[in-house]
Amino acid sequence: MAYPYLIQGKNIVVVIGNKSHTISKTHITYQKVLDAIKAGDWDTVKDVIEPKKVVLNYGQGNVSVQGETLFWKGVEMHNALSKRMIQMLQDGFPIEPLVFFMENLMSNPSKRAVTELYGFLEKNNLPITPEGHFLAYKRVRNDFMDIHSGTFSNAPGMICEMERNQVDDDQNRTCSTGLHFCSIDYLPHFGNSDSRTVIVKINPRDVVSIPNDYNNAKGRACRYEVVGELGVDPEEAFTAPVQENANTTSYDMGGSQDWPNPQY
Amino acid sequence: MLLHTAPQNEAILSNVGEVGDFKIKASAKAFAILSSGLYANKIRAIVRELSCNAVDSHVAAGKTDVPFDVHLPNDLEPWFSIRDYGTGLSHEQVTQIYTTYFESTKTTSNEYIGALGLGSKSPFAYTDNFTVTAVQNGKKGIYSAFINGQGVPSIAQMMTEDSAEPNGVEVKFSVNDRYDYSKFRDEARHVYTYFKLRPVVTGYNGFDFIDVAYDTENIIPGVHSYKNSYHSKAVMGNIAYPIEIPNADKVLGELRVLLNCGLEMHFAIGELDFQASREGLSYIPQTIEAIKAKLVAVNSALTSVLAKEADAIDNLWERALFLSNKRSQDLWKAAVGEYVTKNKPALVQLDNNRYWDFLQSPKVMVDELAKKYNISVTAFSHHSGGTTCTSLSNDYDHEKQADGTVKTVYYWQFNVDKGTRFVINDLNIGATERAKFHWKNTPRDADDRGSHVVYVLSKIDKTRPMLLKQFFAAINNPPDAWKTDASTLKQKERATGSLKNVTVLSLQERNSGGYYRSKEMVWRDAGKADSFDSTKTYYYLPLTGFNPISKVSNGFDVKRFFNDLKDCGIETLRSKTIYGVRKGDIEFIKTQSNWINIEDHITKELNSIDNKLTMSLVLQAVDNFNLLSYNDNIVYNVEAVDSPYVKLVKQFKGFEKIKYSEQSLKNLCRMYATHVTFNPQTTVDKFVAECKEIYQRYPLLQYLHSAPNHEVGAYINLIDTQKGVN
Repeated sequence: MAYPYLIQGKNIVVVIGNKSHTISKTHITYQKVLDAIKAGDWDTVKDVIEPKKVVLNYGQGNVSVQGETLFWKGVEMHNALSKRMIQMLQDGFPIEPLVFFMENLMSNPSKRAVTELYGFLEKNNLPITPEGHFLAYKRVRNDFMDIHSGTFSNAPGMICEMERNQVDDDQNRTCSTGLHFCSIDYLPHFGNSDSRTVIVKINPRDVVSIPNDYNNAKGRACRYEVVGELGVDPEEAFTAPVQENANTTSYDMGGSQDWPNPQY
Repeated sequence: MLLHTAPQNEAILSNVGEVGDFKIKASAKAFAILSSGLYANKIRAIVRELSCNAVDSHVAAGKTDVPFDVHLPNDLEPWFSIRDYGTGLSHEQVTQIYTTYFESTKTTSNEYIGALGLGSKSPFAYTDNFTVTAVQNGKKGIYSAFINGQGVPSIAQMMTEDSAEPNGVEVKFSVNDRYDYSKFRDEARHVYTYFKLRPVVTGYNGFDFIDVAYDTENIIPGVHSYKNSYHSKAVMGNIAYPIEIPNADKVLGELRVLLNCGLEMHFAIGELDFQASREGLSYIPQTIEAIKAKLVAVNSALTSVLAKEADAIDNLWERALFLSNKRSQDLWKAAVGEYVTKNKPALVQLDNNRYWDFLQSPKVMVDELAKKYNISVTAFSHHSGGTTCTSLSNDYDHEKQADGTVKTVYYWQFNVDKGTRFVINDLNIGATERAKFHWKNTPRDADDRGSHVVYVLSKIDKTRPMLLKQFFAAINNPPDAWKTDASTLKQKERATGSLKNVTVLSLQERNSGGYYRSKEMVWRDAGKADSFDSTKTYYYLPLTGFNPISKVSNGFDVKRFFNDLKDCGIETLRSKTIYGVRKGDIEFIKTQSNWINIEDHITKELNSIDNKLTMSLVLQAVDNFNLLSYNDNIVYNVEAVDSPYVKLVKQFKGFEKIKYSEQSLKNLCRMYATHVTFNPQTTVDKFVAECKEIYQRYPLLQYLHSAPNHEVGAYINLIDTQKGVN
């Protein structure tokens, strides 16, 4: 059945049953509501008019809400991740990458590393990958060897690994052992004009610590995979909440932008 | 509430033309002004107005103990809503009253906060669109209020049905900008501070209300003072208004300072008039009178508390100090004024609010002290943080006599101050010095700041006693604890042949704080003499007070002395630190072989000026162009062995210039001339004459100071050849 509605300015008011619902342009499902009203698709209107309900549906049972706080399987979700989830929802990505990401994160043996990683992800808008890893930058020498020692290769396709207990897990020791990755803010601070920048894919399980210098802009892990070289302006490398690689041309492994239109 | 509209005076018109009424045009502009333009803080206005309506509705329904509901916007529920459980609204009320500006059902009673008929439209200050859900007696209607295409507010009925929900109204609108979520939260916290019954707030887990911290509650019923705040507020009908009475000093007089004390004053609805926006009060006479009446009541309550405390203090000096202390506090200022006006206590006086004139120090003429009480007074002040005492002398006035002449009269004014002390001289001599020593060496409490005066009272006629009792009675009896016999005070330990009792000062330049001002000289404490290395030699000047005792000069200018030593060019004089040793310690310090009177040292050094030093000084004095120092390379180039140039410079062979000030050296020599057998200046003068001759003989020599040696030599040869060498 058709519901009484009013579309005006930035707002839509729909009365469903005996309840009024109101939604504004900036809210996550505004466009869906508008499209559904225009199409006369009243069932969809009912489904998407309440952002809370939409989020719960999107979470596929993993997510619950109390007041304004989101919970993932009963544990309060860090702001960095709830923001990421809303972003994914709005951009039409499926929930699975986040489910995998959360599973990977929960298998990280260090509570402290997890907490530090939240801070890192909140500061730095880095995408997660479909298999629940996240992408970050790394500066390497012109021959893809690491800048510090020049002994191991970070050529695209390489998987770098070391024993977790060999990685310095003290965030106050800012320059120490471990496989380093960084966010865009750290790039200008390391390497020289001859250096290259590669994109590394890190399982949140393998993150050991986030040193507290440079405003949480770099991290240490015990394993990562080099997925490509940065072929574009670093600012343009990551534009979607879920990506498989940077928006490069030369090393694009393909597929990352072609998500099917998700169904709620 | 009942509105304070002016009484309707009938206008009496006569012999006029056509009469017409002013009208209001119901245009988009008018509606925008009334719903949005009215409020400075729009979000706060919406929260406040809708909440007041909710409270009013609960009052009307007799449900003052039932809280209303507030929903704050968040990411997942991005709307603001207020739901009350009052009387609700019928379809007619929504479409007729709710939507009519200035229509209000609450203007007949002061039970209600509202009255203007504007508050329900306040959501339009933030949004173009809000919904009103009204439930009344089993009927529920949902309405959407919106600004239509012409900019005029409209309302549409979206739904109506029978309902079992409790009566009440919900106003709800979507918050578009997520950055406003926290603003709604903050404004809600602010608005609900003074709500007697706080609403149930949802939508934000950590929401907490502000609980006001009071310093004093119920100074009089319904007036409290805040902790750490200087701003007073009027609270009327759950809303707090800042009190900002125009020209408050004139309107309220001394009571105005009470408003600086952070008072929270509660008024019944209707007592004060307010601005249509409810963001401030409207200061019509009635508002001002109501506030003033409350302040008067507060002040009289304070006055009676103050009077009780003040009356309990028997000593008049202590009572005066108590009042003075209270007078400096804003809360008590007017109360003290009232108390003093009424009771006229001694030693205080109100004088045009000049707080420094409040304490009245008693005044006694010097000759009256002598004749009546056999007392002479000496006085000094000491300062917190200072190590010195400053002697004070009596005051004087010029009194006009009956015959028109002016006579100077001298008097002492005894400071009413908590640090004032009276020392009764029961010693033969030295009472003042002993008192000074005592107060210099008695540490003060950390909170005891400022300067205090000590009066030393001595007999004038040593054969008669001082009439102390009568004297103290004449000045209203300062507290007994403030009076001390001189013999009970701390006494200075005399120097008894030990270095640790000798205080040494050092003469230092004090930075004067400006580039172009010369530096002042000060004597600074350099510690006790035993802290000095006994294997090193020190040079001192004997001091009385801070004045050097010189062997040769009466008007001893220490600054000039210091600079003369510095600039005299004699190495053994200019590099010395000058220490000061007090008169009382001189005899002892003389026995110490490493402490030498600097004047003796100067005399000795001036006496032993050798030829080398003299010649160096001469060279500095005469050789402006660096051409007269002995220079082998020039002399080599000069052919005539007897050349006057060579004769002159050979005298300087082996000497180097020393920078010095001729004036400084002259000064030292003059001051210590009687002891000096040799005056380097005469030698200098002799050479100056010789050099002058050389420059006359070789007129271009002075221009050759940067020429190569052989050219200088060639020039000398040229002159020597022309003028001859004999």
